[in-house]
Amino acid sequence: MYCYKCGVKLKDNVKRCPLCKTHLMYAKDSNELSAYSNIIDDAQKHIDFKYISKVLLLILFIAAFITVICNYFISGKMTWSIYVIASITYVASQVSFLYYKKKLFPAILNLLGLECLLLTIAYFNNGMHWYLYLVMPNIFAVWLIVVLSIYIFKRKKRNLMRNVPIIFFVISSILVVTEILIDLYIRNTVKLTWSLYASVPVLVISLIIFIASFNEHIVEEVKKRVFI
Amino acid sequence: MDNIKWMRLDNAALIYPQAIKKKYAAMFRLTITFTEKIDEEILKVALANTLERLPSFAFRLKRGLFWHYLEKTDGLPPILPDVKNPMNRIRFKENNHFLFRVRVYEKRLALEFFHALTDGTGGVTLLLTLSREYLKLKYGVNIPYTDKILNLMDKPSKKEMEDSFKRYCGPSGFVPKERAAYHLKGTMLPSNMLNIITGEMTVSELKKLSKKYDCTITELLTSIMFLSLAEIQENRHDRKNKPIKISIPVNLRRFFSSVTLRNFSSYVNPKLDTSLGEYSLEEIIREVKVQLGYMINEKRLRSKFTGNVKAERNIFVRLMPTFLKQRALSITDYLLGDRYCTTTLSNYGLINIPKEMQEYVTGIGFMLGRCRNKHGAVGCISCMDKLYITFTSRIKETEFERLFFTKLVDLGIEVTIESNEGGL
Repeated sequence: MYCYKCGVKLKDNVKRCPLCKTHLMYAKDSNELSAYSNIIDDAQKHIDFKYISKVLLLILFIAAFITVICNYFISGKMTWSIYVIASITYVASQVSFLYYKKKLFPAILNLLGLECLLLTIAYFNNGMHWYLYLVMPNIFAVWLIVVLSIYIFKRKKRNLMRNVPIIFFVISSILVVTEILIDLYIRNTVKLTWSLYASVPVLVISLIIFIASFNEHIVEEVKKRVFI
Repeated sequence: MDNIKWMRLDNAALIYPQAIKKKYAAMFRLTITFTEKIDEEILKVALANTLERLPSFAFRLKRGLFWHYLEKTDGLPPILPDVKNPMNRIRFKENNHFLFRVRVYEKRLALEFFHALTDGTGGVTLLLTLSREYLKLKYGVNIPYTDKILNLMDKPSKKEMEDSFKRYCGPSGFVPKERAAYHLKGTMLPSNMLNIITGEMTVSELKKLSKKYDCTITELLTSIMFLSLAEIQENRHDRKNKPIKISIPVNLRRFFSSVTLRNFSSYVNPKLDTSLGEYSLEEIIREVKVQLGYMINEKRLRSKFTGNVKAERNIFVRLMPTFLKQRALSITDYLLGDRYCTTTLSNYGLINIPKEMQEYVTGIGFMLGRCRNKHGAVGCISCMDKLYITFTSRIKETEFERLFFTKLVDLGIEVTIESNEGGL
């Protein structure tokens, strides 16, 4: 069979000319072997992240165990090793990112690990009040904004002009929440000042961008002028 | 010969280990197609017998304090199924540390070499000696020996493992400075994929054509390639400030009486300056003939590789630790390796297959691996009145291949095309 565009000879079962990509009308389904095997060499070496994370967890567990033993033999009870174990728990929660393909569960583990570490420090240093009213909610707020931002920007259909205002909105809300928490901790009353100065202009600009993102003409104009 | 436990890399091979990257290694592939499906068990025995006669292929790459070197290795490389996207970097550990890979697809046997080990001549010697042994074991056929089919009863010679660059280098030499070349651009394929297109044609038809133009087949193919590239440059309205250059490897064994199975080749870069105007095929052939005649002679080639040997002997280069040298040479290779040529045309030439072997063989193939900074390369080989030209490219567009083959068709050559459909 010949390609009627290039004039080269091709095997009868070839459906498209490899040179000009023309679809060949008279291609036959035959049992003739194709020129190349269908197996694809993926070339990149596969890294077994599950295995690596298991090894890391084992190492961390052994380290925690040795620390506890040493602490117990030196002091007769567990003192400083509690901090080490809390830190190791936090590191182990980071390792879970390697183990799980979907990242939401490791993110929750990571939050719990961090909260657990700070709780241990607060508990043994008489800082529970400070921890419960200031540190724990703030860490949760920061975690939430990080997780939300990742979720918004990881979506397949990216729309920067709609995503950025959403993130700004979340940041503004967190600023307000932070000031409320600090006010409650210090004065037991809420009087918003600095968070409003920061969040109101950001919210206004975000709102304008968000509304503008629905106008195709404006979106095109922006794309045209600020593309990188 | 058995006491050679390690050896230094030859002069041409020095750059290849330094330039290995996750997605790149200098590779080439030789294939032979038999009339019947390959028996892997017999092939394994044949491979073991062949490697005893050709010990220079049973070496692994090791890193020394100042240079990489080759160390003897035992065992056999595994026989792997052939793939749609060949010539990816060899994962040495998975290949029993061998620097060549053996692949089988139905009737076709393929050997993929890492260039630090050998060049085309060494590769063809291994392929044909292995094929002879395989056919002997399978069919009991007695095929006569040639310069590329070695007798397994002979003892390996020391000369087959020598670094001929060092043996034949002269007292002085230099590598001539060159202008950067025009490069073809296109849509990149995934890093593990190559677009492979092979054109098969008869040698006698091509010979007639080259006789008509009073040139050799290599000169004719190079000229048609220049013409195709010039047409692309014109069609795409690319700037013509850089000349089109085709790198042509030259087998130095033609000029120096070496029988080494390691690297012993150099290259020349004929050019076509399209800024001077449009060229006809006859004009290009005249240009190519003059340039190749001027560049390919013993003295110029010796001067060129002597320059490289001198650079290797530089005391500062030698004293630089491997990890620093690796980075420095890798960057140099990245920036300059493909800067001076648009593409490569490696014409191995005619392979002499004995009559007794011909009835078991239907075809042969030669292709070059992924290029680091240019779009692709071309490998050419012929046997039994058939010539195979294989384009390997890392871009999706096949304009160059299409123009080249359609020009051959226009000149009256019948071309049969085969492809891995990597770009479809």
